[in-house]
Amino acid sequence: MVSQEMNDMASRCIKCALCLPTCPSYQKILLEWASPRGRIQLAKHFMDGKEDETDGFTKELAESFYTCTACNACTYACPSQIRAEEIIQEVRGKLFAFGAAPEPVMALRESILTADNVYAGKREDRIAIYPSSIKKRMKAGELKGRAQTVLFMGCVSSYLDMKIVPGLFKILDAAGVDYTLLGEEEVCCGYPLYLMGDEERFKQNAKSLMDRLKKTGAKELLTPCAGCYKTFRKYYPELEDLGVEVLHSVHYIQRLIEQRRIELTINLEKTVTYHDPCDLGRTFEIFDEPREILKAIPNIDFVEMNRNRLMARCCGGGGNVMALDPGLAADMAAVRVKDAVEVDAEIIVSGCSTCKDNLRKGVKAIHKDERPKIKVMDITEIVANAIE
Amino acid sequence: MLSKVIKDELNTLVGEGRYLDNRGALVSYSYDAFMAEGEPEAVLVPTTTEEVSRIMAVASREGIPVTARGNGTNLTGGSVPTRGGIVMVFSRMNKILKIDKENRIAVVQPGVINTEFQKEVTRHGLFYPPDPASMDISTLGGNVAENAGGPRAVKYGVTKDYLLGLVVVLASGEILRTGGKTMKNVTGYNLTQLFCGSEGTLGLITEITLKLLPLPEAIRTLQVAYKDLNDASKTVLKITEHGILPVALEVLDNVFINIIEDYANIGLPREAEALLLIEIDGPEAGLDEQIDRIGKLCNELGALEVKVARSVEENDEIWQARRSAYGAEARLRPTAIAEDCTVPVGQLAHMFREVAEIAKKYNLLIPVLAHAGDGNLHPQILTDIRDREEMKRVEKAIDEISFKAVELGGTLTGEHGIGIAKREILPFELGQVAIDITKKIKRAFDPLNILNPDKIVKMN
Repeated sequence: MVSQEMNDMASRCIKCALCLPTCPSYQKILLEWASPRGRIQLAKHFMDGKEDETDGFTKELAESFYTCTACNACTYACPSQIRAEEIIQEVRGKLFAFGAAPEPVMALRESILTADNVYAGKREDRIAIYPSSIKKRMKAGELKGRAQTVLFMGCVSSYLDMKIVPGLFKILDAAGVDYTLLGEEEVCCGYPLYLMGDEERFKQNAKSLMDRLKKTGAKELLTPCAGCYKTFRKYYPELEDLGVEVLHSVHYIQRLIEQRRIELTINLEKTVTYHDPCDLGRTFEIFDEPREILKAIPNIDFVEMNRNRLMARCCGGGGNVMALDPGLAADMAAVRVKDAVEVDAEIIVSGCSTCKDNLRKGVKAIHKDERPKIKVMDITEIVANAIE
Repeated sequence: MLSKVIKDELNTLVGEGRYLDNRGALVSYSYDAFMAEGEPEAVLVPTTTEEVSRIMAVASREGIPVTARGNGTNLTGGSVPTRGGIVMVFSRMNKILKIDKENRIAVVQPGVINTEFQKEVTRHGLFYPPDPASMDISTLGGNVAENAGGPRAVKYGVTKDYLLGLVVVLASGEILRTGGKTMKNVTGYNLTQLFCGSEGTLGLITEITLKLLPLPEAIRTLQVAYKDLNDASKTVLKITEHGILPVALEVLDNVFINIIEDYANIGLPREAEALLLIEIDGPEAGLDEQIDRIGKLCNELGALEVKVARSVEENDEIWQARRSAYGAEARLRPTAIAEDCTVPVGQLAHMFREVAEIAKKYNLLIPVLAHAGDGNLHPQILTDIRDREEMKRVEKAIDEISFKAVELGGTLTGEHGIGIAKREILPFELGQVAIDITKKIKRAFDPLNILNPDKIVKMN
């Protein structure tokens, strides 16, 4: 059974289908079970005791709930203001507890629990992408253990070549920021555990990471990862007070520009659009900061995609879907890439490492005869390129 | 019940992933946007006419009911499989096969979404007018099967007015081609139009040829508030008398004006009995003069206030009131039933008053919005499906509204169809002769009664 609150919310669904066009998974799968309306109806049906739960918790039912990218766009189209994301999250919790979470999602969990990162990468590889100057300072013990700002890079930015980590260091060093970091000791924030419905492990992981972060004595935590940001700002406080101000790089960069601690001087004669990551946009309504940053780059031609801000189309990378079904995630990203092509953008910028990873795959998922010449960049990367 | 052997046969016809019979899939195809529900025994997702044909051959051999479905936005239960059997989902037959600019026609598969089609033809400088409120979601196959209309019907008509030809799979599995690519075509019976509005009871549409218009150059919109609903109604009649045929003439009643204000706070005059939205289109030259003439006429007829939109943004602002209607009503009660009666345009004000009386009589909240230009009213019955006592009153109110519309020379449904919702009251309007001939037509196409059985008319 789902909670009374969720059941009440689900029963408000008038089945109007206004959520269908907003849902990235429905748009690709085109089957009702992959739509918000379908998931709400399934939650209602299988969770209100009408049917024996053991019959309901099939592989297919799990597929319905785990293909949701948790983008939350449906909420903004719903005349009944149903927060499908919350219903889906609760059902995922039930499915997980029942042992019905899909195998690739369980493999992701295994990576986090055994290797502390989403790729089952080696601990020392977490800093492989760090600039050699930083690595040298770390080795020589020059990087302080305690500082005003603690950096938290996140698994995707660290283990994949996202150009985010070097970009962030370049920006911070140019501004003379006093920072510390966990380096090889950094671990996954646990967001994927939360999303798969493993509340217990999420809590354990969060507790241990919080203790480590607190030891740095930092007043603020800076992360370039939208998912980590959401986790630290939305889910950790539900457990306990983290005691630091959590900032995303878009906040931080905007502040540095305002305080003239960095100057964007290098021309970029390109048409650029901004893709709102769900974890920054719809979750916290962080819309203006990234746009102001981009417009501060000399000679940039900024364009909006037709679906932006609250109605921005999800890249398809959220909700653990990249782990569950990378092909589906890339196909969803291809749709978003086409949104950018439609407005003649030459570069899509995002503020989320997962978006960048998935949008790049989205470009490749477009058949080579139609594949657009479009570059995918993170906001830290494009800013780093604009400073001397 | 479908046997294992039949299930295996159907599975082989479409292949893995497009034959579904797990519990989740069956539950998720047990409803549309209407209240009624019923589970199928299998869901099939064809991608070609030939596949549909092969499935129908099995269905007719075995007497399996088949319900066609696009994206399930039907408001009268037309896509609910009330007798189990197969739900045939057309959402993946979603290709625009051809846009022929020279001949102003397009050929599409049934799963193409209306709005996406509109966007694509606009790129070619062409225009497809039918604009049901569900256009962002609903499929063209569903639009044809329901003969969908929308606000633009006043000037441009409804789906049937753009339908030139079809490919239809019959109950037997035979493939029928109707109509053609020409605007004029009187060769034989008009079989094309017979399928339009047949709600999936006569055949399964797998390809549609549509007529297109040149894209109008410009649009202007007016929002006019009236103290007295009669004046709004008079305006609707007078505008056309002045030789102007607007694209759309939409009315919201006082109940709607107030619930929209409560919800969206966009500055609508709460005291107004009616809010009239008027849209005109045409060549840029002369359009402003036309809108001024309409504005003057509205003032002469006692308008409280007249707002003219002269830019895309202002136009958008005006339509925001209409667009907020569903959000506003959904916040008030858990269930909203969209009624769809239609009266001759001259009876519009009369029908509004009747609905208000009926709402009072049954102690229900029934805001009304109407496509005033074509007399199509949508009384929105706001209720709670879980409240049995109230639902009884709702049913009575719906019947009374429908009967009243017919009494005034109108019809039971303007655009939502009969489905299950209005099946029982259908004879009230059609009469026995029409019911009999309807059943004979149904039998001619579907002797086994396997195509969306129980919809429109019950056969036995």
